[in-house]
Amino acid sequence: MKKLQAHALYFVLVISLIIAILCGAILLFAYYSSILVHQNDRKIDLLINAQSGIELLMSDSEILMSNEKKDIDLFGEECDSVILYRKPWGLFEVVSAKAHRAGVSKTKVALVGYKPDEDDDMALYMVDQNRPLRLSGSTRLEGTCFLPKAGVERDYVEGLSYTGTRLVYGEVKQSSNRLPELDKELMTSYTQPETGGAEKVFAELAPGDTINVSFSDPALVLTGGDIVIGAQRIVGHVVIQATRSVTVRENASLADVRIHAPVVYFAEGFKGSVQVMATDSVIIGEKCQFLYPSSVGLLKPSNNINEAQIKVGAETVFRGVMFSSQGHYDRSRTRILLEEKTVVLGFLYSDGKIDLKGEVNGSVVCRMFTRKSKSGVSENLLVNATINRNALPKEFVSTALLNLSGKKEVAKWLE
Amino acid sequence: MARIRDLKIKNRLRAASLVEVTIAMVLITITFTIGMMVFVNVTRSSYSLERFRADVLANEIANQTVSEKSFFDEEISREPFIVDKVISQYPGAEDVLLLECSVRVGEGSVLTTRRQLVRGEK
Repeated sequence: MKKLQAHALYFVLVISLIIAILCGAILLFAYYSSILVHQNDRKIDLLINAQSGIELLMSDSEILMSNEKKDIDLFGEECDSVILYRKPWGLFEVVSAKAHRAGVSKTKVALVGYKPDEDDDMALYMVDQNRPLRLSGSTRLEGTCFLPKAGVERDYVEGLSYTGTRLVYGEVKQSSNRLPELDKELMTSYTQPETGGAEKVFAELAPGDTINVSFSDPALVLTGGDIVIGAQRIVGHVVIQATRSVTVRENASLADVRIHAPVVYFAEGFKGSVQVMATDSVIIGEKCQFLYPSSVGLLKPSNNINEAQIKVGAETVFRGVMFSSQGHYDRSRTRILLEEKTVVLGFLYSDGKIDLKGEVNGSVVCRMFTRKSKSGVSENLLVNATINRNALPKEFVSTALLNLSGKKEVAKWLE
Repeated sequence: MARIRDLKIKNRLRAASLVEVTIAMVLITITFTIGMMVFVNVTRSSYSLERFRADVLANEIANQTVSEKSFFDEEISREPFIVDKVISQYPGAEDVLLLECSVRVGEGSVLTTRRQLVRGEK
């Protein structure tokens, strides 16, 4: 005979246990999901605060001086603290904002440059030395050009006559007998050696070594006499300082680093982004690729009697800012030579001479053009050269090299 | 009479006593009550969908303001929310503005506020 078990208490206890387990699971789930949501909320708040810090650093107001660190409360409620920091980095500036709250932090670091107002945009500025600029071959000037009073004219040189329909594809304005001056504050910081960072002798590095220093950490200074960078990978907050020369081979991998040396060589086929400061010469091989934002500067000191120059090999593409200056009166002026098929995407400045055989998609500011050929040296002559301001992307951020009105902008996010 | 007794013994059912059933009913009532309280409290105290939507809306309005450079005060209605956008000068920096986006439902309390600094002119 079939018997039915009817222990009511037993069933109730089992059901109660199941309900208790379910309640516990719901509580745990709710607890962890609320923790996750709050953490995510805090992260978003911190990122917004860090971005606000960067905006503050890029404002015209002097919130803090260069190389200074300051902890500020953004909204005066003691819960939006941001540590702000700025320092010069080549021709650019590194700005950092670290937002922190309750032991959690978020950092934003950017390489900041300068974007001139549209009124100050120009394709070419050439000092008025009472001589016209002569154009020959397929030369093309596009954009606003500041030219000598004597103007611009066609010329027949090396069997080539000017092929364009117009001399200047843009507005022509008259230049003065002086170049726009370089920003003194920027030049002072540009020539300063790195201080406060850890120092290491470059020769201690082995081939294949990788150095990656965050811009949130102190800089690493690699020193030496004649430094040769081979199969090493060097990234970030690193300064390579040599007393004589730095040679960068094609297999070197450099990103955002600074190089300070009297002489700097880049081997054929190099690819990377660098901030170079030389006092004697910079020799760039053929088919190199300088990634944005790079800068190459040559500042000739008064005790250098050699002809200081920047020489860019054929088919090299340079994205950034290139300049040469002697900063004092010197008959042997600095020179920038751009070989055939070179492309500069950005800004080119020389208070000496520029021998332009390639293409500049951006702006050129110079005292004079020269051209070396078999028959001799010609002045104020451009043959098969291009200067096109309209080909420069609107997003391009230059530097505050000249005292022009404009606005600070982020050239590259580093972190 | 004997036949009836035999039948009763043969079909005897094992059942719970009245005391047992009473305790069981009390226990199950207490358990369900606690369960319902937990569920209601968890639902109430957790990050609500409404608050999430308010956060998303505040971010959207702030980003739109920055990209369009629409640096002026306005009240934006996005059913069922109302966003109060307030732009003020940030003290100590002339070209920096403080952008505040507060989201509320009708005349109710503010669900969320997003604050950020932007460069621009009011």
